Amino acid sequence: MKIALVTLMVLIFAGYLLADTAEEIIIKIDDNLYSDSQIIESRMVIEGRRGSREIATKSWTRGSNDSFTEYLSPPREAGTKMLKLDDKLWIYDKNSDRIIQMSGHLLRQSVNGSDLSYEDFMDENNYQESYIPSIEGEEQYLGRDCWILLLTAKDAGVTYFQRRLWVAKEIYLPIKEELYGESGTLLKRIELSDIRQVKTRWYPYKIFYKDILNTKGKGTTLEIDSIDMDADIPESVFSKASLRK
Amino acid sequence: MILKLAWRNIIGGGFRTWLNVFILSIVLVAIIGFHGLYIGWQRDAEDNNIKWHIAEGQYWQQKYDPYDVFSFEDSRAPLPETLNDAETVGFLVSQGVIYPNGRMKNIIMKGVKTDQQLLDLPTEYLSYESGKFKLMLGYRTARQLKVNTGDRLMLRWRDKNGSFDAADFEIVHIFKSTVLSIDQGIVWLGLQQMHEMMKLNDEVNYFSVKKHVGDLGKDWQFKTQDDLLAEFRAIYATELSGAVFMYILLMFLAMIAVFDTQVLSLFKRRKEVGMMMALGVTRSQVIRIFTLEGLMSGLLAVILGAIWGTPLLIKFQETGMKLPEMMDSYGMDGMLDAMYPKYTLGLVILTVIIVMLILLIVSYLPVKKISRLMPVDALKGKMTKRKKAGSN
Amino acid sequence: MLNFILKGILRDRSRSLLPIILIATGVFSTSLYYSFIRGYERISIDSSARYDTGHVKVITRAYADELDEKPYDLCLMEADEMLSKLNKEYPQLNWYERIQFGGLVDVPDAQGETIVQGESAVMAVDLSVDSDELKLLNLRDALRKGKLPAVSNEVVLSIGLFKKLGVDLGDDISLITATMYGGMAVGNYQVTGVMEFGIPVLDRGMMMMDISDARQLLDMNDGVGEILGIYKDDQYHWKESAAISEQFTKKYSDPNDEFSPVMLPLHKQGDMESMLSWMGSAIFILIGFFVFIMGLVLWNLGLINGIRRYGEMGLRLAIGEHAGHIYISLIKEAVLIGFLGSLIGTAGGVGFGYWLQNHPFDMSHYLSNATVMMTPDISADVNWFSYVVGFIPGFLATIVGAGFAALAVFRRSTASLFKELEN
Repeated sequence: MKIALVTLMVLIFAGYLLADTAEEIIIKIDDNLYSDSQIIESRMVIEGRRGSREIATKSWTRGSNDSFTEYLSPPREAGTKMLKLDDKLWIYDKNSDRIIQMSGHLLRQSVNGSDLSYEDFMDENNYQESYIPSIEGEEQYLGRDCWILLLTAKDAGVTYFQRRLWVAKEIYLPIKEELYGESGTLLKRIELSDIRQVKTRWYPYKIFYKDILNTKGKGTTLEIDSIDMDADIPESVFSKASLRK
Repeated sequence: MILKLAWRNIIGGGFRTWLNVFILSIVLVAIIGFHGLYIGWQRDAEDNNIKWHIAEGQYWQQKYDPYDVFSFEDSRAPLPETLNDAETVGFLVSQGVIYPNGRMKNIIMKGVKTDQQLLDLPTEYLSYESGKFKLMLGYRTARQLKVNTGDRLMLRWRDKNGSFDAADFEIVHIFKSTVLSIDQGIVWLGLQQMHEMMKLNDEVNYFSVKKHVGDLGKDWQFKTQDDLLAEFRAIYATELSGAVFMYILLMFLAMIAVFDTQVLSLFKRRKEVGMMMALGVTRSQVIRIFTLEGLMSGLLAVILGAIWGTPLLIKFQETGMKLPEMMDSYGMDGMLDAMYPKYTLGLVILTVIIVMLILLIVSYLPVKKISRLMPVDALKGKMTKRKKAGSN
Repeated sequence: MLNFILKGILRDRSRSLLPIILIATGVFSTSLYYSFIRGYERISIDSSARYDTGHVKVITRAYADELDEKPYDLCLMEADEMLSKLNKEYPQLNWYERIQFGGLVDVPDAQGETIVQGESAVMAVDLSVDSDELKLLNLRDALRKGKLPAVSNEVVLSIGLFKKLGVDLGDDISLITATMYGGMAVGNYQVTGVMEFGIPVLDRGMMMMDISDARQLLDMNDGVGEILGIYKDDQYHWKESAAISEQFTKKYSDPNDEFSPVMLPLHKQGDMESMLSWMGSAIFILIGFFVFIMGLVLWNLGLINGIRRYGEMGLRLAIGEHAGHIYISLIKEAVLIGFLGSLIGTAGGVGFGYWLQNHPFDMSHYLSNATVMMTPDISADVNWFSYVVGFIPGFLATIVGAGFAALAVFRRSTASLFKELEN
């Protein structure tokens, strides 16, 4: 009896020691979502009042801070390019042949009428850099065992003060995310689905964004067509010169 | 003697005299009443602007432009320390988005000190309570958004670092003011609350002061009351010009009666004039008698107007002129439910003086021909004709 | 008899000339004042109709729900087809396509880097050289510098925006906005002119471009924000506009389709209805007051003219003319004098009113604060009522006054009347 009890306690203790901490979980999430480089082809499906629109893009990303995106379709958008370097964002509009730096008020604009703003786009840094995580609890969501992680911004200037993540335990990937302001008001909800394995990582091939405050809106879906992790991307891609090429 | 004669003659005119006097009194009271409305409107708009918003003037941060929303973020600075707190009211301005009934709408957020005593803006409703989100609206904005006191309104903003936040605010008060610039498109928050929301310390975009405190450095630009009221005054002046046109036409009408009365008077009293001249009264004295009679009808008009016009104008001042429900969004300060006239001593005196001056001219013109009247012709009941050039 | 009376009037100036002049003055004042105050009302309606509401406006149901916001993303599609229908079914109105939206004006340097940015409202209208919009919006008069856009990608700026951006004529600017679908839109334009409307809210920060440029920029092929209808006679027909709006909406609008069109008359847009009603009531009261005063004055005039003739009445009675006959002849004279005076007064009032209508007097030049200009505020609007508002009361009041005075032939003795001759 005594031996059984001690064994049980050792197992529990070992289990406790082996259990993931919040920090470890978000490191693994970031590992899934971000690689040294990625090339992603995707389509943004925007539900508007006049029906849905689809915008196809191809993105080259370097880490979690730098990215270059080119719009492929529809014909009017094709040729538009976006370059994000750290905290700066430029857009090249082919119709006017101008490179505009997006700052201040322009960042607040929505991306193509979607539920994402350019600011959301800017905020796509990995969680470790911007947030302090803590585990709030556990829950079953869409048939998956999940941790509920609460991420609180480390510094001022992070677009969303807090995020609540439902992280599927077996794959270390959030399948639902809620974005909050400092007052505790829910601002946006993101649902990640169609999870597929890409090499050693797990990646959501479908991401749904919903601006909670805009009750009349129907949300925006990002669908990944292909993703190439750790792709070989020339450095020249991440420069302003590449916007006009 | 001239005065006595003139007075006797005017009173002897009977019904004709009193008809003229009555018409003149109506015109006098109408002009005073109408112009009082304009003065009331101007006073209301300017006084309320001063009482509710601009006080004795405002200091604007150098880059602040109330018509350029992009200037708000870059035009903030702490209130100068030398200022007397009790005589200063700071305003913090920022852009926000509200969601009335699920629709998205851009709005201007203004934070104001809640315990201020300088302005009539009812800021006490916004007193800070930790954890409570309160806002206040003007009547026009509330009507546009179709909200009432006690309703809740979702407001989203970005703090100084760019982080988004939103909260469900309670509408704690809806105020009624004739000042458009503190109403349309604005939600009011307590300054402390807004500082907290935006992570600002003591910064404001502009502040109103009880008195001009001199040069506060390159960061602040003083705007006098005249500067701040210029646009309204321009609108007022153009509106007033239309009213003046009406006064001129009314005076025209009234003077017709007086002119004709003078003509008749002279016509009927030619023999009397001849008699007076024969007895030694000079032509200029005779002209003065007739002119005075015209003026006296004006004086009687003033007295009669005062008798019946005063209670009427006082009543009008109390009830005002009701405006249609939506007149307040016509785009002019000073208009809400009604316009209330204001009568000043200056208005009354000026109107009387102008009327009397015109009356003087109109009374004189028909009788100036007496200056060439020969007593013999007058005694015969004739007017002396003008001599043609070259005739005997 | 009439001939005799007419000769008497024309030959005896003291009997006729002065009364006619005075009656004419009274009627002139009243007719002119009516036209003036109608002009004031017309300016208000006109200003609103030209720049904002039209006399009627065709928009989508969704747009109508948020009319104040001018949500061009909720615009009307197949605009050309709708325009043809409107021209065919409602030929009493001229129809104008408009797109209004907002954007950020960006001024670049030679390397394309931003020097300055500023917010701007944009009004897109048909700026082709033979377009009626040029006259409707007084664009040629509003142009202070430069010229109106003649080809694609040219714009004019309001004076406030022009100064704020610090640009010059011929400079290139970009306009950053969103297409009707929400995508980013950037257009490059050359500044060709500067406008000043005299309306502060327009002059502060507005850009004007041709509607084809706006359609291109906003990805709004065959779309239009608003179609404004303005009556060809420039008058606002309250009842008719309500009727045709109802008829149109019934025919073309589908409550289940938020992008189906509706037509709104001017008085149903914003707060115009109550304001116009109030204005109408105010005009009625003011004119009533004016006519009352004029009536009193001209009645008094008639009285005085009659009194002046007592001596003559006495003489005519003395030589045997019947009192009734004298009375009738005096009335006939009063009719003629009243008619002539009222006719001249009406002609003068209406004539001056027409002149003022075509040459509105702009008070702004005389304002001390020259930095704030207003639309012309002294104008007139002559209609059929201008012809009668002074004429009828003036005419009748003169006769009534003379009639009262002439009653003396029945009430006073021949001797006392005759005695007046001596005076």
